[in-house]
Amino acid sequence: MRGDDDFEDFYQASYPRLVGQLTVMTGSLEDAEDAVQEAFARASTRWARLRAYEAPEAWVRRVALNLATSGLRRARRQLVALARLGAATAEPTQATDRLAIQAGLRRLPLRQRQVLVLHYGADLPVEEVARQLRVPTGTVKSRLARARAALGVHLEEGQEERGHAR
Amino acid sequence: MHDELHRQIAQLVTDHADRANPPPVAAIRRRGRRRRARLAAVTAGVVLVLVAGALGVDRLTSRLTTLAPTPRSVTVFTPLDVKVHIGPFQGIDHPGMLERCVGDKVEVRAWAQVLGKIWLLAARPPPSGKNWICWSDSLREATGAGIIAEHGGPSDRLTLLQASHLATAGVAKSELSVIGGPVTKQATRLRIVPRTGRALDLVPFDAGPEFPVNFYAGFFLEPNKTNWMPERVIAYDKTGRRIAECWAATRDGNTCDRPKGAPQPP
Repeated sequence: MRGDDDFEDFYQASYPRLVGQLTVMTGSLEDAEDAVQEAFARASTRWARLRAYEAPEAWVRRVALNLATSGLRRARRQLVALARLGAATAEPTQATDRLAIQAGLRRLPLRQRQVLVLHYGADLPVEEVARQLRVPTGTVKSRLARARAALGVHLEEGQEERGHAR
Repeated sequence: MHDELHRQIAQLVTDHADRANPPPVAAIRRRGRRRRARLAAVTAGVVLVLVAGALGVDRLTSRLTTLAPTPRSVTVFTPLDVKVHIGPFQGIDHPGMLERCVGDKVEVRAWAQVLGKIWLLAARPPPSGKNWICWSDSLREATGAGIIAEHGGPSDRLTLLQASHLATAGVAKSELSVIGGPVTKQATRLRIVPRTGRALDLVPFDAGPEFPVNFYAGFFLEPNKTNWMPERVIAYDKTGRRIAECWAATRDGNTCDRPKGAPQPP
């Protein structure tokens, strides 16, 4: 691959994957696309250097994560407003269990959501998640454990609520 | 359970990936080039803001005592000299503020314009005989989109000092941040102590006799961070005695506690 061509190939291959991961993390396709597009825009001006990296996608993901994290710090404030507006409307194309997972993820703190998405959604090993987030491996492991436990509780609560609603 | 969780999250990622709509690569490249050009222009703008502040144009009610050098790209906490206007702001709607409190309208007590964004502080005086207030701060684009944090209310008793930290994408490789909140009327000076960079000293502004507290706001640029670490705020009385200290919180409500993982203060 060469110069501009390989940036385009890289972009086409990585963009949907990164948007998928960031959407699960942020809960918003629009926010995720904005963060990923901005990250690719920054990558495009540094491509001569980035293309020599072993995994340029990791660089783009980290930039997009940083941007999304800034956005989520805002979103934390907006959670109150979202709660006032009521729950998001279910998307008919998604299965109920995935909607439940998505709703459960939204209730987790950002840091726990990040590790779940990077580890399970991006298939990154714990050590790579730690590098991406710049935290110790042990921190990632403990966040994963807490996230799984919290998600389990949220999913059970969701099932009970659905049960009562019937 | 792990395998099932793995499968479901991976499927969720795939579902969202399928909905992704990548713009043409040429548009991404244009965005990159425009960003470079914008950074150069914004850096020049920051120079103007800082120079204007240093020259004393529009002296502040709440202002810092020292200015950091102009950032080409911000790597440390960098104070900004921003004029805080006391009184209502009519420029944009401010929905969502003070929703914790029953009331007919949003009472904006102070506002500022900084780097194209608008900071608002709204507050309601305490009900008769009560030791709490409702207050809310917001950092917004000129269009009205932005962040709102809500604080106080009947379950949040007033304390000597509270510190709310709002942050949004700013300029260069940085976030525009503001730390502010109520502080006891005994405080004559506050210091925001960052992890890196120069401390920001400021004076509170008078909230008037209907409030048992005054308010303060400090503006600064800080580097974009994956793992955000909080700043401390310290309030001093007129003798220079430290009377209250808070860790600035990026959430609703009121807390001064040291967040988990934050370094011990010196």
